[in-house]
Amino acid sequence: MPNAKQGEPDIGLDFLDMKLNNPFILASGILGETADLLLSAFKAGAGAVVTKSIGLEPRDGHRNPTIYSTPDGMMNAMGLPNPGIEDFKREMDVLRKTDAVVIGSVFASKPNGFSILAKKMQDYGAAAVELNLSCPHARGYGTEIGSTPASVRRIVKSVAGSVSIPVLAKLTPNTSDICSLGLAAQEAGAKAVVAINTVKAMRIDPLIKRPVLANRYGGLSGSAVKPIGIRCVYELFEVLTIPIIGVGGIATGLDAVEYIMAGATALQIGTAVQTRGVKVFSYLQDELKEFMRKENYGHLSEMRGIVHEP
Amino acid sequence: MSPETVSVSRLIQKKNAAKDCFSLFFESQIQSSPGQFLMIWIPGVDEIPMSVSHCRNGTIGLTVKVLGEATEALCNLEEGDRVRFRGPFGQGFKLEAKRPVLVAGGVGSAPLLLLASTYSSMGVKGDAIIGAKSKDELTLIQEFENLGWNVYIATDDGSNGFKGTASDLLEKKLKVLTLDFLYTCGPEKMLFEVIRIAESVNLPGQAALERLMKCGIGICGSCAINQKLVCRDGPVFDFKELRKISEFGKAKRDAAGRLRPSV
Ligand SMILES: Cc1cc2nc3c(=O)[nH]c(=O)nc-3n(C[C@H](O)[C@H](O)[C@H](O)COP(=O)(O)OP(=O)(O)OC[C@H]3O[C@@H](n4cnc5c(N)ncnc54)[C@H](O)[C@@H]3O)c2cc1C
Ligand SMILES: Cc1cc2nc3c(=O)[nH]c(=O)nc-3n(C[C@H](O)[C@H](O)[C@H](O)COP(=O)(O)O)c2cc1C
Ligand code: FES
Repeated sequence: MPNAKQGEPDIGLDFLDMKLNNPFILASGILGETADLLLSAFKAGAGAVVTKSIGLEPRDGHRNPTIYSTPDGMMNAMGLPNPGIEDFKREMDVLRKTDAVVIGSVFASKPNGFSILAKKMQDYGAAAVELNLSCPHARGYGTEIGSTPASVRRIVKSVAGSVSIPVLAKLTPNTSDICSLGLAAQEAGAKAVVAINTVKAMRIDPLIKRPVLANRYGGLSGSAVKPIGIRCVYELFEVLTIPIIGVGGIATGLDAVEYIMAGATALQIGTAVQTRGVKVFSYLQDELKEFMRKENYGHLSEMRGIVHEP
Repeated sequence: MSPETVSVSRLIQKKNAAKDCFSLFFESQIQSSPGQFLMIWIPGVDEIPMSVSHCRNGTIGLTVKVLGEATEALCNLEEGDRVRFRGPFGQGFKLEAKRPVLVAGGVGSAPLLLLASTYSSMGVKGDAIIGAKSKDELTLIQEFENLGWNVYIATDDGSNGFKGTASDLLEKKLKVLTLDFLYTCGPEKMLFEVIRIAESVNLPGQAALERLMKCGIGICGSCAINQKLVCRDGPVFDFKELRKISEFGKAKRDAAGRLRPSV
């Protein structure tokens, strides 16, 4: 634990092999396709940044409309656009020359594909690799391969056996039993789980008489999914021994406190980067510290999982 | 940041604006500042960014050049057909000039027309240098003239007005016109030239940029130009800002996010 000044709450984190200034990490897919943008989130105060999910080949993603804002959230069906792992080297090479803590997110349709991508991310200097086992709107990827424990186990095992950097498994909430997915990831060698990805959703425009996204359905994020994310983190904390990164609708320091009390060690921020701007990373730190000061917490660990029954 | 506004509108009028280019008018309460843009969804086809060229009492106008599938479908809409708008988004032009000059290339005159009509309603008029490849591609000339602006025309082939590019004509006109601020929109090569010329005589100004847009609201990153997002930080940028952006005039990202030299 980094040493805290007397009286000043300590929100630093020694996490896996990473030293994070604070627990707030930029979530995958949010301004994560370019080095310049990832760097601007890091400079704005993110403890670490996760890249856009990168695949073996370049992908244009789904046709527009790919985004729809709801009153308390957002739906997206970007369709995993990405430059492909070979081209992404350019961005990672830029990041490597900085002090940014970068987690490489990857997706593939088979365990072997995940392993190839993870090795590349390791070669490119990523501090950890996050496996996207949970995108709800791209055929043959994400939720389609990440919603059974057997498949999660195969993929995580393959990756954990081929890289030395920590492997994080990002889980889908679009399942009746997220705990079995978390347990499968843990048994197969994941160093942490990330929960949650977006929740499969649809809206329809009554005047246009079509679903509002070209892909018809998409993934819901933002405040609307916060109660689902907190429930998932709570359930995972009951059964897992590895740390949990909480994500889903975190926009304020108090949202973060809820996730930490449910059992999260670190947090990822997605939609709130749009609603509050990239400065959200400094607001979150201030708001979290203010809560800890008022409630007399010196370290994040003093709050972690405290709502669970002994 | 305020929640985005979504609205469905009907096409009420379509006018030819140049070769393969139409001004489309929709019944809409959208209030857009000059330089801002809308995301327009042509149902079943695509959703694309469009500047606003006309905005007055319950009508919004776009001026659309047919380039590919979406712009073609948009220009093929018939009166009464519905589209959906998200927006307006982005930072528009600042309205601080006493003697503005506009430099437009092709359909780049669209956002500059709303700027000119806004200035005119404030009692400020100026000069508009409008360029195109050839005379049938000159866009919205009559509209600028109707507002009482001085219009200077340039065509690459000399079929109307000055023979050469809009930036060549600007270079000539700088010696004779009194100006205090320059606004420009058009192909990026032209913007690059115009800014070089303006800066050589210390003329401040702003340029409206284009990049591939998906979300339009600053979350997906597809419109990135170095550390800036064209949808949120732009599309209008100060010349001073653009000088710090190394990709300006040099490179663009494609739909997959790959950085490619701009042709
Ligand atoms: C903020 C903003 C404001 C805009 N305002 C207007 C406007 O007022 N009027 C207008 O007509 N257009 C405007 N555009 C451009 C317009 O959005 C594109 O022309 C449109 O998305 C093309 O879609 P498409 O499916 O018809 O063509 P696509 O199939 O996407 O493209 C067809 C061909 O045109 C090329 N192309 C696509 N976009 C551009 C571009 N921007 N510049 C040069 N070549 C391109 C492609 O590479 C391809 O070769 C604006 C763009 C932005 C970002
Ligand atoms: C536009 C957008 C793109 C996303 N792309 C990815 C992605 O490529 N990989 C991934 O694992 N998650 C992706 N996500 C999911 C987020 O990382 C996050 O899990 C989810 O949005 C919930 O967090 P939030 O409520 O803070 O946004 C994306 C989310 C959004 C809104
Ligand atoms: S278009 Fe998505 S960030 Fe600009």
